[in-house]
Amino acid sequence: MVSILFSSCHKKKTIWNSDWTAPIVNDTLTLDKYVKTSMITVNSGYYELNFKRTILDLNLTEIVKIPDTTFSKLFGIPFSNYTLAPGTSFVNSIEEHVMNVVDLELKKIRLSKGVLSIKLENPIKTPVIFKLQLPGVYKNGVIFEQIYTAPAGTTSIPGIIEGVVDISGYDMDLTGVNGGTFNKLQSRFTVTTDPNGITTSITNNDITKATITLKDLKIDYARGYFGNKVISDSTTSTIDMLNKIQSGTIDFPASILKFTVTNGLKVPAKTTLTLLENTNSNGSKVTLNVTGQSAFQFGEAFNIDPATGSWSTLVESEKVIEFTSLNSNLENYLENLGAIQKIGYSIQLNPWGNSSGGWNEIFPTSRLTLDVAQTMPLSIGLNGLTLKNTFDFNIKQNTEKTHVISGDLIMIATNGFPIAGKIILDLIGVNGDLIGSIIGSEVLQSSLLGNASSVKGIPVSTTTIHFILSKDILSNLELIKKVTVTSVFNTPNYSTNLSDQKQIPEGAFLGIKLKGSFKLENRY
Amino acid sequence: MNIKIVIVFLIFTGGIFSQQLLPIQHDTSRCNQEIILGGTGEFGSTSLRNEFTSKLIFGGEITEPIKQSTFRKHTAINRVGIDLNSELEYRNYNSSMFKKENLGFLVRGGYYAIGSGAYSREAFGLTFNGNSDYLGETINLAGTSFSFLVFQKIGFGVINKVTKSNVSLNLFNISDVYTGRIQKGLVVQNSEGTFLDADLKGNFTHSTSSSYSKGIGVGIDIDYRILLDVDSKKSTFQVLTKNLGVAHYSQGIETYSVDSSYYYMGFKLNQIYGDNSIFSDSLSLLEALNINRKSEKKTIFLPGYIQIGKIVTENYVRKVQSFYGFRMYPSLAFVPQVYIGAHFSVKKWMSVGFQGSYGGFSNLRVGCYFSLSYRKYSVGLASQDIYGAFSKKGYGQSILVRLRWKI
Repeated sequence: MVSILFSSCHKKKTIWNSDWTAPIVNDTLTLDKYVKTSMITVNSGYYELNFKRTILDLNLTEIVKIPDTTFSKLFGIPFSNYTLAPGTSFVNSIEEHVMNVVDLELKKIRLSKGVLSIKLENPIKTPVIFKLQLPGVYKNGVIFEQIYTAPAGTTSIPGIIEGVVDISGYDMDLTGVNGGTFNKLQSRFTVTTDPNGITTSITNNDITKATITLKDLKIDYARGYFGNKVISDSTTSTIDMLNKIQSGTIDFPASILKFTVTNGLKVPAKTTLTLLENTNSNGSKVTLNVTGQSAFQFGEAFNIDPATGSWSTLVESEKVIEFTSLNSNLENYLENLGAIQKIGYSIQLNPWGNSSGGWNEIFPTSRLTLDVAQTMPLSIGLNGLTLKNTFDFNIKQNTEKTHVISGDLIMIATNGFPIAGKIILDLIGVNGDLIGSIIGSEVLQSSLLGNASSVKGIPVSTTTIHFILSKDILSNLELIKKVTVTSVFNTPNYSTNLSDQKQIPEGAFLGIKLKGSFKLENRY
Repeated sequence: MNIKIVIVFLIFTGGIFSQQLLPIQHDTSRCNQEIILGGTGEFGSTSLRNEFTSKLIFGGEITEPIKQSTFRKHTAINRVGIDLNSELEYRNYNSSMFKKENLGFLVRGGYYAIGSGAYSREAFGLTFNGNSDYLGETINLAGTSFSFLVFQKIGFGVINKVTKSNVSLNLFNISDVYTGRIQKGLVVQNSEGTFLDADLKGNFTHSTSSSYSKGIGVGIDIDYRILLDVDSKKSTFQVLTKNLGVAHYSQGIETYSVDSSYYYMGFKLNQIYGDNSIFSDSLSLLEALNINRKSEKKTIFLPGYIQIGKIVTENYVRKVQSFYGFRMYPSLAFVPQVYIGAHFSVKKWMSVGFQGSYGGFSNLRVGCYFSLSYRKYSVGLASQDIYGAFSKKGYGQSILVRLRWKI
């Protein structure tokens, strides 16, 4: 009875409010990780950008590629029938096999890796001894030689023997039997009946067959003519952070943008830089143009000498193209803050054909690279530079249960950068409508307004910024689908009230302590 | 709805209260059979005012003034307890148990919901005010414990037809259990609220099975009455135990336990943003907080009590007689409670009484009762906390009802 009566009535919700404070974020942003990778260096106590990127890096295996190659050789006799006593040699043949390479005239290679697989088929009724020699293939002065005994067989069912040999470390002379050609591998086969076998006969229908496959070849040296190869590309890269810039400007100091072509191949080459262009988040495009330097023009090829020396004495040749504000529109180019960077280039090997007499060489350490590097003091002027970042947001509150009715996100920022900033959070609905904005109560103060930090010895300012979460916003949480964080940065000069370039001191940091202070309506 | 709840409460407590301090009148008159229905609705606290607990129990907004005035009444350690029960008993004096003329038998059954807790002032403050008031301070939650048990009883026993002493062996069904204890609970925050250091050891147990019966138990009730000379007057003393026994949870119950230290200053930015965010699907809060969860079967003591005291004799020659005694719940956060009172026989069919008590779930309380008898019927109505019954500033509520029908 009691249970029935109890179940028939519903308790009103008990409600009370409570105030909670909790740390949310505690982090320090520094440039240390860029310092560790040498992307940022220190000069006289201030940071410098030392950006490097490799656009092209070709090594030997990418220039000289040798696909798997299979040679098959059939050995017959010109007689209708021939008697073979035990120990009789009936094949003794030197052959040339053409390597399966394209646009290459190889005279010599050294294998760093690879295997030779062999399959031998014996059609006669006594075992035979196959002896394979590759006269141009040697290691430590010893010619490659393998001997196999194939079991007895018949014309229809030959006796088969197979084997696999590691040929890593072998040199290969590919100049053929006469030594004047290329891409040709020599082989010598000797086939002898088993000295302990029976006497048998062979007919002109009995074909002895040898199949050799060179597989998975990797080379660490090649000599020959590597062809009139053209490597060209137009690479596009995106710097995401720059895409978030909505407005404002950055004033960069004088800097140097350097392109370096390094040739570790003993191959003459020509290089052409066709394009350097960036597009910013507003779609504005700037192309880097040469204004004063006569030795270089975009679209015009310049020569790259072959490397000199050999093996351990190899000396790479290098060609450096340097862009500065004196010889180009570099400053304008950088200040466009292009998120999309496009670089076009072309490198041609042996532009004058086989002028070396087939004496192109590539060594294990040989590389052909195209690098771009930028050096610039991190002395940046920000003038209303506005970054926007949008995050998905999906937090709901059930107002019938315990929920937050008001709150305050409090950021205590310790700023060692000479940069001031304002932060605004825009709350966006499902149709892109603005549901509300939360504006930081204070401007993040530049370090220039602060005192010298006892930790790093640089000026540091501390700002407490409140982001008030009103009842209206919290009651509409389920309508908010995205949050856009807009940050507006300046590098104020407090003497002139204008933004100008500020050097970033070594050890600059931004310490962020974000805590939440919430009023809960507890319900049960 | 409130009226409904009050009615339910009265009915429920009418079935519950009669085991409490409402004087059991020692009735030596003979009858063949007897049916007794009793009920108790009892809530008490050392620090929670009625204006607060009524909102907590019946709903409504606990306003800031109510909360703060209640908070101010808290001391370092505070107690709270609730006892809702109803019991029906049938006594048969016609039969002779074990071939003994003076032994009848009885059957009793009841429904009980009993809970108690002890907690620190900080535990109350943290729960109802939040942690913001404690920035720069240390919150001590140690010593906080609670238990709440819902169970049913059916028992069979024998009763002395003359002295009314009786004993019964009872079988219990456990339908719900919640227990918790914080053995170590220090939480330190800096004044900025940017770090939190906690050292916690404790556990929380609750029944998870959807089955009505989570376990069974056995126990005894003893009501032993002795006639003694006090100041040359014959007085009846009673040794009463109720629901003393043990129960075993046959259905698994779940225990969460923690014994860890935490130091939390907030997340790193890359912990809350990006692919490796702590909010990824793989996050387990229990694992992150080092909280162990396990299902187990275990045996506990039932929340039985022992009460010893002088009781009122129904056919006493004088109009006024005293009653006094003490009570204790060994397994609850219940300090031994002492009570003393005076009984007035206004008429042969009507009596009233007043009592004072100290201890238990609360501190000092003053109560009264009123009982009527008409032929074979008698009814008693009592409250152990008169002040609490009428004032929002009281620290508890209490109502007891007892109906008796002699056949």
